[in-house]
Amino acid sequence: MAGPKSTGADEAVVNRIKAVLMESKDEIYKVHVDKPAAESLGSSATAGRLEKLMNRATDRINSTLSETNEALVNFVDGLDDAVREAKKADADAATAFRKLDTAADLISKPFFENLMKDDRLNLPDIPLPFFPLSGETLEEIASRSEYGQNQEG
Amino acid sequence: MSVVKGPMMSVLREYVARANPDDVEARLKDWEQAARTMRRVAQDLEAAANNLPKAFEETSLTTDAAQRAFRDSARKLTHKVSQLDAAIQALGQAQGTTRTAKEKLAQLEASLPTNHGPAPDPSSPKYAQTGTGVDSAQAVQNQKALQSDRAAYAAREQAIANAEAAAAQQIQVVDKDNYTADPPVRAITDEPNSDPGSSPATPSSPGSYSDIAAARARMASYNSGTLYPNGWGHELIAQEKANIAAYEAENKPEWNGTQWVNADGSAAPSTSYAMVETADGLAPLGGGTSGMTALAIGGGGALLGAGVAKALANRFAAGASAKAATASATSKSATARSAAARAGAAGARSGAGAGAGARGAGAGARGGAAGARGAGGRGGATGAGSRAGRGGVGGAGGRGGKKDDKRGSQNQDWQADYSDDWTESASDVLDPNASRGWTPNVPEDDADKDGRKA
Repeated sequence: MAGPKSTGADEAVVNRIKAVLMESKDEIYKVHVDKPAAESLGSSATAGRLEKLMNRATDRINSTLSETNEALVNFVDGLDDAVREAKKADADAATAFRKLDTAADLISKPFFENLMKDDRLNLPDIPLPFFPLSGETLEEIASRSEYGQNQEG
Repeated sequence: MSVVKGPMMSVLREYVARANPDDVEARLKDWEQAARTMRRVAQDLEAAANNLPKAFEETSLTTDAAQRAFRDSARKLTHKVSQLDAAIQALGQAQGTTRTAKEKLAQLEASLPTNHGPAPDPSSPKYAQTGTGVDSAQAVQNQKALQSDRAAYAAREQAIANAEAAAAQQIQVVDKDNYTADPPVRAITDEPNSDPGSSPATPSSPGSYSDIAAARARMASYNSGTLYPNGWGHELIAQEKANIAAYEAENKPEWNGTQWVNADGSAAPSTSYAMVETADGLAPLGGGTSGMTALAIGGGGALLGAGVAKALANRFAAGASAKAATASATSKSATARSAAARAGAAGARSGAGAGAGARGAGAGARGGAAGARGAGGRGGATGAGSRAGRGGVGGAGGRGGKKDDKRGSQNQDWQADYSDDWTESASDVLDPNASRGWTPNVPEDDADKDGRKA
């Protein structure tokens, strides 16, 4: 709904959407899955095969989480740009929205196509002595710092 | 403390001993968290899609596109969540099965005896029915003692056999559940419709039944007039025939998924299996004839399964040394007997292995071996020694070793005396051809293994 000043975007609503997405992104950022220890599924041939699959699946899940994270960054950035463009001229908003498509593409990738390296910060769950910030906080800081840095060029 | 356990128990142990379902489930907890978070993100995206028209002008076409992008993403993400959920559930189920199998393994191991123990020997003075110092009350008591000892022995054997069957079932369940857990996890890692991989191979220690099937299959693929990398077709066929005969004689019971089967596919008594086992080896038997008698009784007397006979042949052959071949003609010792058996087996094998051209010679060797057996091992034998002797060139030798046939009459040969000659008798029962010079197979340390598998 256009606001009273008819800028083409209701910033309050957009900000709410953005906040929700950023919240989601932080959560996604903090989730990591680990591989099971060798032979912890058993030592039979079937268990060995399952273990191999599980290891590969772990990679895919981490990669998917990483890309979902990236997609959410794109969504937020795209909304930002769209609002900015909408203030100037509605026509340019179309290009801004393109970022959303990139995000949708990223997030739509099925598991098995997610071969990206998981480049998110994965801090061990050990408190660092004398360091005021917890690992989780550090991860959140790293997560937040990604906004605006993900644009190519 | 080691217990007596069969191959299935060993396989089951191998399957789950190092498994750590707790660890895997901890990993699955991470997966669950990932799924949960992704589900929330999907909901957020859906909400964003719904709110988008409020944020931007409703009429804008681009808003529609943006909304579609959000909505698509939410749907795709939800799909991934469901895939993940399915995988978690399947893996969790497999872990549950593994955990149960682990518990079962511990239970079974606890139920197993630490050794076979000696089979009660009715001729032992402990169970005497008559004689000095044995009055009727004592006789009754001795009789009872014998019965209870026999029952205890049977119970131990039954425990081993039961554990084997239970282990075999656990193995199947574990394999089945691991296999069913496979596709949902594969959905994450592989493209749809990718090769799901072969179904699990029957986890068994293959017995004679499948050995024979394999040998037949190999035999069917040979043409007699063709030269194969490992020999002429007719030679290979002769070799496989010899192998089949050997497997039949060996009659190693096999778990076919529901029961133990003999070499010919008929049901095998489970307790005979318990005696063939040996991950940890048969408990040492009392040496000499008394030990053998004891086992013969434990295994059901003269109708011992050939598998048992084979196990015993192995056991005694293993201890036999070359000098036993020159043991006195009157010796009834197991070592001398098995040395002769080994020599006979070698002869039979060389006969079979030499191929068509040498087949006549092979028969000769077999007969000779039988003769050697008659001379070396069998003192008062009325059984296979003399019988085998009849069958071949070595007949004279076989007969020479025979002490009790004073009149030179054939009649005595047909008097079955299983107590003295139970090994061959048992195989005679199962394999009528065995008396024509067949001798129990010698154990692994022989070069014959290679030849047979070739």
